[in-house]
This record gives sequence, C-alpha cells and structure tokens, in this order.
Amino acid sequence: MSQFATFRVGERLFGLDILGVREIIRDFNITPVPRSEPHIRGLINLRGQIVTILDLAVRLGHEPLPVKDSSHIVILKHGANALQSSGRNQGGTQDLMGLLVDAIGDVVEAEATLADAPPANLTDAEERFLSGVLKTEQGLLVLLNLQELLSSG
Amino acid sequence: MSSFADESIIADFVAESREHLSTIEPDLLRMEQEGAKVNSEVINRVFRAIHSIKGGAGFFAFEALKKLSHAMEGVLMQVRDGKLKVAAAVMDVVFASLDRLKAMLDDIEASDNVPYAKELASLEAILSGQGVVIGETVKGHEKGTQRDFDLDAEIVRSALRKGMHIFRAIAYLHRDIRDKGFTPLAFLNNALSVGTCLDAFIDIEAIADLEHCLEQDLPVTLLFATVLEPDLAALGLKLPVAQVKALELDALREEVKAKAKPKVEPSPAPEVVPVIVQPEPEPEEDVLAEVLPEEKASREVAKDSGNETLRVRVDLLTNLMNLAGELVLGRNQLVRAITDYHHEIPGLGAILQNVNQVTTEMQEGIMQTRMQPIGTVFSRFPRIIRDMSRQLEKQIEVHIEGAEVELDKSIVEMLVDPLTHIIRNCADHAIESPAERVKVKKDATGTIHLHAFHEGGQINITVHDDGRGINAKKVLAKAVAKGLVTKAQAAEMTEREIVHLVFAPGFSMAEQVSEISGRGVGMDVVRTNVEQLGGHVEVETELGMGTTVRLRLPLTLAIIPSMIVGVSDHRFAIPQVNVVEFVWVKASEVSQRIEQVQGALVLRLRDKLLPLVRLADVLGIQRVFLDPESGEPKVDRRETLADRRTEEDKALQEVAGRGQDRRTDWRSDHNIIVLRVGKNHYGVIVDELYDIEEIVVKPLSGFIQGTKCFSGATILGDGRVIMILDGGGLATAANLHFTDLQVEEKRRAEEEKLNAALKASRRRSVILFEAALGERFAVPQDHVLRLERILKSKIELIGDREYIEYRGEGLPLVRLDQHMQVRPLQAELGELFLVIPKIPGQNSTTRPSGGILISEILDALDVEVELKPVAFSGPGLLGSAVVQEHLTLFLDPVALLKAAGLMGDVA
Repeated sequence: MSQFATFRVGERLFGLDILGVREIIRDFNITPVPRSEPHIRGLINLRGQIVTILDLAVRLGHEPLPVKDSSHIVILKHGANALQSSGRNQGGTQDLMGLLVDAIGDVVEAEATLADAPPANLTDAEERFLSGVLKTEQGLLVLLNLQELLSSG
Repeated sequence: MSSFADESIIADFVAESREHLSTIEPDLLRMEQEGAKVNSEVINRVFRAIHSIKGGAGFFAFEALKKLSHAMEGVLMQVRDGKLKVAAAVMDVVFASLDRLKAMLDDIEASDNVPYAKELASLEAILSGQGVVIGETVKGHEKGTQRDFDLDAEIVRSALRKGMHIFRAIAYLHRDIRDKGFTPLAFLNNALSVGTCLDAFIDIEAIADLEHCLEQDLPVTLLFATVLEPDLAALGLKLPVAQVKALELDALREEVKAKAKPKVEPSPAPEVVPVIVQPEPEPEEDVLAEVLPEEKASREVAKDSGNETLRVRVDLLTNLMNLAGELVLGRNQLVRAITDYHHEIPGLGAILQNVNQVTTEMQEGIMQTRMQPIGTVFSRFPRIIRDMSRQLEKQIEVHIEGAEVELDKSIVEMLVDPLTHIIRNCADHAIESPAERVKVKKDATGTIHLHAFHEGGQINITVHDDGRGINAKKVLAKAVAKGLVTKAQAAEMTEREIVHLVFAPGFSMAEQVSEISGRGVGMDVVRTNVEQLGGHVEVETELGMGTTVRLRLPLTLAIIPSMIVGVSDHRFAIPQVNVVEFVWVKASEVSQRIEQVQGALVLRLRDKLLPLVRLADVLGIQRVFLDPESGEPKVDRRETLADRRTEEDKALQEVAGRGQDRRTDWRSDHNIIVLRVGKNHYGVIVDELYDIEEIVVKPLSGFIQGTKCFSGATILGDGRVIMILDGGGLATAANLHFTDLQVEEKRRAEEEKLNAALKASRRRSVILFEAALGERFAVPQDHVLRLERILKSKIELIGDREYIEYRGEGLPLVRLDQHMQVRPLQAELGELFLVIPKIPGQNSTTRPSGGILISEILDALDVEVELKPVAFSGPGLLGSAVVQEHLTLFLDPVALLKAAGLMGDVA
C-alpha cells in the first residue's frame, strides 16, 4: 500500500506519493518571473530557500489558477532534475519545486499497482504528466508523473 | 600493502603530508636566511614534518616517496646536528626534492612514476660528501628483513638522561596477551606502570588480509624505556625474557645518533619487506595510541602545535550555512510573533535578546568557516622569489603584511594565478640587478611588499616593488607598435591610461621571451581573473621608484552589493559591478535628450549615443504610471518617449481635461541606469531606484534558466524574493545593436564636422571700408598685407596709371571705379587710404604689386554672412551681403590687381 497526498486542481482530484511531498504551505507571496514559461507561477521564499512554483493547471493545459482561500502550495521533496546553474552559487542548494493547487485533500491509502492507465480523452499535456488513475472512496484519483513534471521544458 | 589501506586513510595521509610540506617551505626559507643563527626549533619542525611523511610513505609502501623523504631527512639531520652548513647549493637540492615530494603527493597512486633519481642522487652526494651514509641498511638481518623504529632523538635522549634502559619488547597478541587473560588495553596499562612506551607497531606485514588478522598471532613490537634491568623488565611486562632485549645505546649515549635502529627479530610472515612505522596513519595502532594518552600527547607536543585545525567537508559547511540562514529567518519570525507579549511575560525581552545575539554570532561564525587567510596564497611567494632571484641573479626580499586577512575560500583559490603573475613580473621586470640598483643609489636588495587589508567592506591587496617603475613612453611605443592603440589614440592618452595598457591582451614589455615571463599573457590574465571575481585592479608607478599593483576584491562571492530597482510593482537587483552610472532625465528635458534612431530609443549622453531599453518592455511587464491627479496607478500606453503623444492621446487628454501634461510632470522623470556589457554601455529605464543592498546570490531553478535576462535570484531583507538582472542577457533580449549605433554615432560626428567646416567657411574676418561716400566694401583680412594712409597730393600720374612713392619705390594704384560700376572717390579729399593686398606666395618683404585707393577705413570685424551675387559683377567682386545694416560689396583684392594688369610678374 502506498499513501497519496491528494489535492484538487479545478474539478480533478490529484495524487502524489506522500514520500515525494516535503511540506504543504500557504504562502502566496509569489514573485513572478518575467519572460518565463507560462506554467512558472514564480518564486517564493521558503525559510531562506528559493522555491519555484508551478501552476499545475497551466502545465496541464488549462487556464491559470486564481489564488483562493482554499489554495495551497505543495512543496516537493525532490528538486528539479535540471542542471544546476553554474557559476557563483554556493553549491549544494537544492532546486526546490512547489505546486500551486486549489485545495488540499486527505491522505489516501491505495495500492499503486492497481492504477489504471489514464483515460484516452486527454490533452497532450495531460497525457505527458499523468501516470494513471486510481479508484478510491473519494472518487477517481489522478496520479501525477512527478519525474516528467519536474523535468523542465 | 596499499590495497589493505583504506583509500580514505591514504587521502588523509596525503592531506596531512601536504600540510607538512606547506610548513616545511617557509621554515626552510627561514633556515636559509638566518643560517647558523636559526632557532633549532625551526630545524626540528622541518625534520619532524619530513619524518612524518617518510613514515606514512613507508607504511603505505610508496617507495619513491619514502626514499626521497628519507634522503631529505638525512640531509636535514646533518644540518640539525651542525654537520652541514645551510648553503644555497644544499638548499637548492632540498627545495628541488621538496617539489618532487609535492608532485608525488599530487597523484599519490602514481607517485612511483615521478622521476626523482636526480634529486635523490644530489641528496646522497651531499650526504656522502660528509662521509656519512644515513640511509644505510642495518646489517645482519635475517632473511633481509628490517624494522626501523623511527624516533625523535630528543625522546631517546631524554629517556637516557633519566637513566632509563631502552628495550625492544615483542608481545604476541594471542600468546602473550589474550591467552594470559589480558586485553590489549590491560597489557599496555600494565606496561605503562613499569615504564614508558616510546613507540610501538604491529607487524601488519604479517597480516594476510583483514578478515584473518585477528586469528593470527600478531607480534606487537614495543620500544620501551624503563629504569628496570632486562630480566626485571620482562617480568614487569609479563613477557618471556627472550622477547625483551636491551638495546645497545652507546651511540645514543654519545648524543649523536638521531635514530635508534634496533634489530628486530624476524616476523613470522616470510614475505615481509622493510617498513618504517609511524603511529598516526596506522589503524591498529590507533588503539594503542588511545590507551597511551601521555605518549600520544608527548608526541603531539613534538609535532607542530601551532596549527590547530580540523578538516571538514565543504558541503557540510554549506549545509550548516544554509541552516544558519534558516535559523536567522526563524528568529525574525519568532521575534515578530511575540513582540506583543513583551510586557505580559516577565524576562521575555532579555531571552529574546539573548537568542538574537547568539543566532547572529552563530551565523557569523559559520560564515567564517568558509573564510581562509590570504596567507595561504602569500606563503608560496617567498619560495617563488627565492628561486627566481637565484635564477635571475638578483637580490630580492619579500615582505608580507596582513597574511591573516580572510577571504572566501573560492576567492583565495582564484587569486593564486593573478598574484603569481604579478609577483613574477615584479621579480623579472621591475626589480633591477644589484649592480644596476647600486648605480642608481638604491639598496642592492630589492623588496617586494605584499600587503592585504580590509577597506570599505572590500579586501585590498597591494603588491609594491621598489624597482624601476613602468616607463610610460616605452609602454606607449610598444602598444602602438603592436597595434593595440592607434597613434591618434596614443596622443590623447593620459599617463595613467598608458600605464594601464599593460593590462591589454597581448601586451608584453619583455624584449625577449624568457622562461619567466614575456609571453604577453600575464597582466591580461590578472585583470580577467580579478574582474571575474567581481574585483578591480589598478597600477600606480613612479619611474625609478617602483610600482604598486592594487587589487580590490569582494569579501565573498556569494554576497554582492546590488542596486535594487523597481518597475511597476516588480523589483529587481542589478549587481553594482555592472552599473556604470545613474542618469536622471527630467521630464522637461526628455525631448532634447532622448530620441529615436532607426526605431530604437537612444539617450544623448556626453556626445555619445546610449541605447536605451525600458526594463518593463524587455521583461514584458505592463507599464503603469501614477495619475497626477488621482494618484492611482494606470496603465501606461505610451509607445515611445521621443514622440510620445499620438493624436488620439491628445484628444483624450482634452476630453479628460487634465490640467497638467504628463510629459512635463516630475513623475515622468526618467531614471536611467547605465550598464556595462563588455565594452558597450546601455541605459535601462526603470521606474524606481531603491537602496543598494548586499544580496546573497541564489542559483536559478532549471525551470527558469531559459530566461536569459536573469543571473540568479535573491531574498531581500524583508523576505521578498527578487530576480537578479543579467546585463548581457537583457541587452540580448532587448535586441540591442551596438554596432548600428556606432555607425550612427560616426555619421553624426562626421556631420558635425562638416557643419563646423561649413560654418567656418561662412565666417570671415573682414576689413570694412568706404570708397565713394556711402558705398561700403569689405575685403577678407587675410588678403590684406597693409593699410596705408596717403596724401592725395603725393599721387603721381605716369601715362594713364597713378603711382605713389612707397618705401622708396613706385607703387601702382587702382581705383575701384575703373573696374566696376561704383562711383569714383570724392575729389575734394586730401587724405586717402590704400589697401595693399597680400599676394599668395609672397611674404611681407617682397615688393607689393599695387594698392587700392579708398576714402576711409571703417572697421575690422568678424562677420558671418552668405554672399549673394551682385547684378553688375565684375572682376574682383565676390558678392554682396548686409553688414551692419548696410549693403556691402565683398572684394577679392588679388583678382582686382590682376584685372588691373598689375600681377604680370606673379600670376
């Protein structure tokens, strides 16, 4: 059995293996990054470390999410596997990522191996970032392909 | 052997040996300088350091390292014992050997491949020259095996002084310790109760492999000092008498032999090779060392005690530094959260203050762990200078000041090359030969002064020499010859600029390429490296007196002073090193100073065209402006600055009835930051300028690296994340074409020149005169040789031409009315004037060709006129113009003389 942290983006319930989640915060002092890709929501200061925030909705090919009372940021444990910027950094600092989501759900226990393939009627972006669908008591849980999500580009 | 030794132990050994080498070098230099007067502690320190290296090398079976260090030790021993004088020749060999040791340590696994035969032979020659061969094998070993106890003679001597006997005792781990119910610790404690253990080793040669080492009955050999007699000693040690042997110490008693070389019984393992055992790197012996605190301590004292350092992994420090950063932020939040309860909880203020202070100090302390003293770089220079001065046959002294000044580790590392270049330049070029120096009444010994100090949050490093200084003329000649500057540029350069040409790529003053310098890469590299570090380099020189090279560097790379700027509600940091200047263009001056060239905005700044970019536009941020009336932010729709109002805007403005024009409102003033990108400069228009802050650069996430406008991000003091602008990336993103502008600039300069020339052509100095009453004429002053006053009565008529006696000769006269349609001179005048034209090609001494009769001279003045053709044009008439509100005819007097037929001989 695996545990999944669940959250809502739009109508959908998404799940991430809880081992991949570092923490969940509510800090929306997001500094936008001009000229970056649209799914980059911006940067936040997480206790002295800079975290890049992804807008999951945009990444999946939808409209940007407005920040609501229920909004949260899911900080991921593993940094982006992109190259660290060279040059004058102190080295060793992790490239932290966070996902802006609409609402946080419960932690759900489920057998990951039981996941079905994602439905066929997906957009290209969805097809790339979704790894499967689990039927749970809360309804259909869409599993995210973390690795693909963290690969830049 | 080395397969047994864990790689990390070898790494430790190498690191330790390097440390030893770094202490050896300055000590050797001191020995050489002070000669016989040198403190014996210095020699001992060198000796011990080499000895430790030798020990480790032996333990890990690095043959080459061992042999060479052994020979060095031999030579040093002779020096210590006063048998060998510290001559330069000897030191050359020692230094050369030291370099070989360094090379071996650089790649320890391949250390046997480092050629060292020459050095070894030289060392041995020195040794044999004294008739003493130290490295000789003790004879009479069974099966050719040998065990050397390597001991500091001082320890042995002190033991002997106390009347102790020295024994070599062998204890077998099983037979003598385990089987008798001892633990090794108990055994040693017992041994220590009867005497002193000077040294010990386990015969690790006998160990086949790690797994089986405990099953084997390993012999532990002790060098043991006690006042007891041999039989009693064996009893005391609880060992069979046969395993305890007194050493023949007569030689030692005579206080000359530095080493005890006891013969040791062969070990059970047949395939052993000679090993010299040192305590530190041996794992088994660590156990022993731990239970022998006193012994270890005594050995530690013998080692260099001044260097209490610990090797720590850099990533560990980095991690600590990050944690400290988090702690500081946590503290800030805590303080903010509980300020309100200050009065409710007694003593809270004091606690907070305490936490506050400790946190700050801790953070500072951790930051300091990355700092290294500049001395680690400086310390290599005495040696370099020593070698160079011998090679160049100069006398050079090095003075070091401020070696304790600390810099970020990475900066220290990157300073090695630039400083080495500078120092070598000093020794090679700047410092004269002793003969030369004496000739100019300087001390025969030149000095190079290295000085590091803090100033204004930066580190300053100066390298001063008292050599010949830089000859600006020669530098300039060289630079021109090499095509680094044109002759025209050269003429305009200040002395300071000329001296700084030494930093130009490809510049070299050396007449010949020598082994040391003259390849023309040196100072260029210095500047590049220093600038890469965010630093700055300058040179000052006084001919004949010396040169000072001054480096200014930031304390750390991670923290850079930056200017914080704002565009709408975004903020950005611009590293100060990129900022050239800040220009403020008042709204009312915009039209004069900002214009468009080929669709691009440019600012006229001191006769240069500076390309401008609007930060908001480059970054795609919607511009806003504060409405002058309501103070509310509104979207700025203006497209250009130079020609900003479209018709639509104007109409809107009228409809809105705005009293004030935004174009002249102070809120429309432009803040322009001039940035440097390589050789080019450009201006960035921003809305706001905030402070200059010291920012900690954080790398950009891989997700946003595609955005070339930023070089990183940072967290401001208020916790806000902002981006750091990259000057080069911004210019690229804005599509700035510096070359286009250069062309435009050139075109303008030429136009300007042309205009000036044109203006100059219109401008003339003229002499204004009257002929007939009221008829005004002008002749260019440079066409006039003289003006003379004559009496009409003196005019003589010969044929139909009038003459006057002028300087003893007859000067033909011309009347204007004879050649053009003007009235004749008034007949009643008794006094007339002569305009004597200057004929081109004639000088003032030649006889004038003729004179033009006029009635009065009015003025000599500068006029700026455009001549208009005259209806009745005639010879010598240039045209007419209005001067002083009168129509004036401009004459060409030379042409007039020609027309009068007076120029026959000149033509």
